[in-house]
Amino acid sequence: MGIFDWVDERLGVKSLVRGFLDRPVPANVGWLNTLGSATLFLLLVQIATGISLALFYVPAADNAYQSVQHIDTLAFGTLVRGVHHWSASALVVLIGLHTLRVFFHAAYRYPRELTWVVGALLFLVTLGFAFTGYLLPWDQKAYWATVVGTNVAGSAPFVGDLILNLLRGGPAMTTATLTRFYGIHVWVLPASLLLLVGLHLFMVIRQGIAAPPRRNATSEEIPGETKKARYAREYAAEKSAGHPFYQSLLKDAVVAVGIILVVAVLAIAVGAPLEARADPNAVGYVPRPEWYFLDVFQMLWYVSGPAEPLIIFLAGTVGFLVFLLLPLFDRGRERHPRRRPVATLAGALVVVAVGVLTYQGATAPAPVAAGAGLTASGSLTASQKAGLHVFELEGCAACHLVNGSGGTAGPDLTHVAARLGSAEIQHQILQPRDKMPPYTDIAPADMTSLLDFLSTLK
Amino acid sequence: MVTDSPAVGGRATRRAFVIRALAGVGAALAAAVGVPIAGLAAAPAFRSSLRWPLQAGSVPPTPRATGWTSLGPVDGFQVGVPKLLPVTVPVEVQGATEWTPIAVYVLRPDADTVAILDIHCTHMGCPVGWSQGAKRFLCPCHGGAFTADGAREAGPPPRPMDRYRALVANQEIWMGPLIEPA
Ligand code: HEC
Repeated sequence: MGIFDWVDERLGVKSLVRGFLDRPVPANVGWLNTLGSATLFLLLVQIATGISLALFYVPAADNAYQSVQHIDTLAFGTLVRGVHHWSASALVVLIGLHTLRVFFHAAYRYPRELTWVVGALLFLVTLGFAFTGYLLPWDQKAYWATVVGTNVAGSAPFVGDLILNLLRGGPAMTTATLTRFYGIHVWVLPASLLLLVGLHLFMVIRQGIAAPPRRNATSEEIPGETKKARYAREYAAEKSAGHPFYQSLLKDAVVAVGIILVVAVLAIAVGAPLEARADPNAVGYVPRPEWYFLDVFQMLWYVSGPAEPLIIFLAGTVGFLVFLLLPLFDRGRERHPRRRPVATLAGALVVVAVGVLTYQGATAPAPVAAGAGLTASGSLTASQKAGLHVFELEGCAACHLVNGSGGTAGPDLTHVAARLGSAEIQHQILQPRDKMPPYTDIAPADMTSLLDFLSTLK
Repeated sequence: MVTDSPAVGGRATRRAFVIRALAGVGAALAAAVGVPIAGLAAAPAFRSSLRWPLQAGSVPPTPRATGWTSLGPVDGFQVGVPKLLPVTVPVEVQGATEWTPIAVYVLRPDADTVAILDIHCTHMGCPVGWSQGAKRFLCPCHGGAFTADGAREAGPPPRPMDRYRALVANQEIWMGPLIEPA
């Protein structure tokens, strides 16, 4: 009697494992279905690397930064921290793709509605991990992104102040904020994660893997048959034409190996970034969040004015509720993307919007500090040079791009003279609309040379 | 043999009763353990000064100083030119007073007045820079602009720059607590 048989006589799980590996899955379950298991795989990587980082990390503002620097000096330190950093990004990508696959396949229909709801909560938990995780190194990026992030949450109507105090552990960003984020990152979220993942997987196994949608119905409707009975009949047919689950696991394994290779290469070649130690007084520092929150950061450009907090709050909560409860709204029968064009289009629009906002946020040039040199195009006359000087001194570049450098609060002025005449430009400088400060104090001679300079921007 | 099947009249009600009672005891235990745990975790939200505004503005991330701190002789500050000044102020953090470095802009609009501004934009809290050429405070995040005395001028900020209490005594500028944004 082998050791395995001996153990199994005590545990009695052989038949369970067999049932798990051999259970039939629909025939055309393919590569897209590996996204879920890839997400699960990365979650495990995060737990493992996270535990070993937690052995060295000190969750206090005075020491956090040094402890992270110290990790980088240890054997495997940069590797483990790099893997934790990059697989966090990969995790956000994969859970996003997995969600999109389930959405476009309408795999959340009966009887998998709750699987989706739990999955949506897992999405939220993942973003929570990302948000709390990147404060922990207590470097400049961490600190300032958290200042902005907590303020976005804190500007919610009525509950804003409450949320802000709960997030920061008080009204200010202090060492209390750091211990709080650490506690949430290593205790609260992992506990919720394990619970939710357990539930999610239990439901996936109980209900079986959804058959990818077919464009045309696989069977005739039998008169008098209920929706549920028809589903059961068609799913049974899909399964009996299918293959055992362990064959799908092969694809999952290939994807997992591919992902860990990519993450490892990034961890070794690029490593986990660490900016200067957090400096709450760093005037001149340009805060930018991690890429997965760039869309929210960029959105703040477009919704401003007194209604901004309300719009952000409504967009956030209503958006999340729709996402969470989607299976309750969308209960049609058709599952193929082409047969539910409205849902498919809406989903595609959300993807494009998030993509565009993220791209804009990622490529936005950092504003030039007032007085910093701009590269002038071509040869300028003395008056135009003086005008460029005025442009730099007055801080116009803080909000306007010229030849690719400057800020993006206002329109790109690289070709402003092609759009506007001097009189119109002068009017804009003296009496702008709400978003640009009025410059009534520029001396007439300076104004002349400024307009002279701007007229070269064709 | 005694079976405990739900079908057997009196037993069914007894079984249901026992299960409900167990659920009740379980819920009571969970509450007894859960309320203090959640309460402690939420303790920072039990401040008496907590507000419930329809329109909450951003809140400066600056630690709230206690007491008054000297910023040095008033002559060290030029009239009309805001000066970025790192200061170390006493702050109460988790029950203990700690000296914490923060930074402020000190203004002297004219010879007789001083004002002390928090460096954070009132939009989302990014550090605003003073532009000597533009004579304005400009925010690097979403293009907010404030005038030389911290009034809101352009862009998304919903209110003027936040201020600290300030006074001049014995030719020295003193900085007091942050005036909490309304
Ligand atoms: C705080 C940010 C900010 C600063 C500083 C600023 N601008 Fe603007 N500017 C804007 C915004 C926003 C707009 C567009 C909305 C509007 O017209 O108010 C704009 C519009 C303009 C336009 C019109 C462009 C078009 O295509 O319609 C011109 C010209 C212009 N600014 C010139 C200047 C000059 C010159 C300076 C420096 C003296 C300057 N701006 C400083 C934010 C700024």
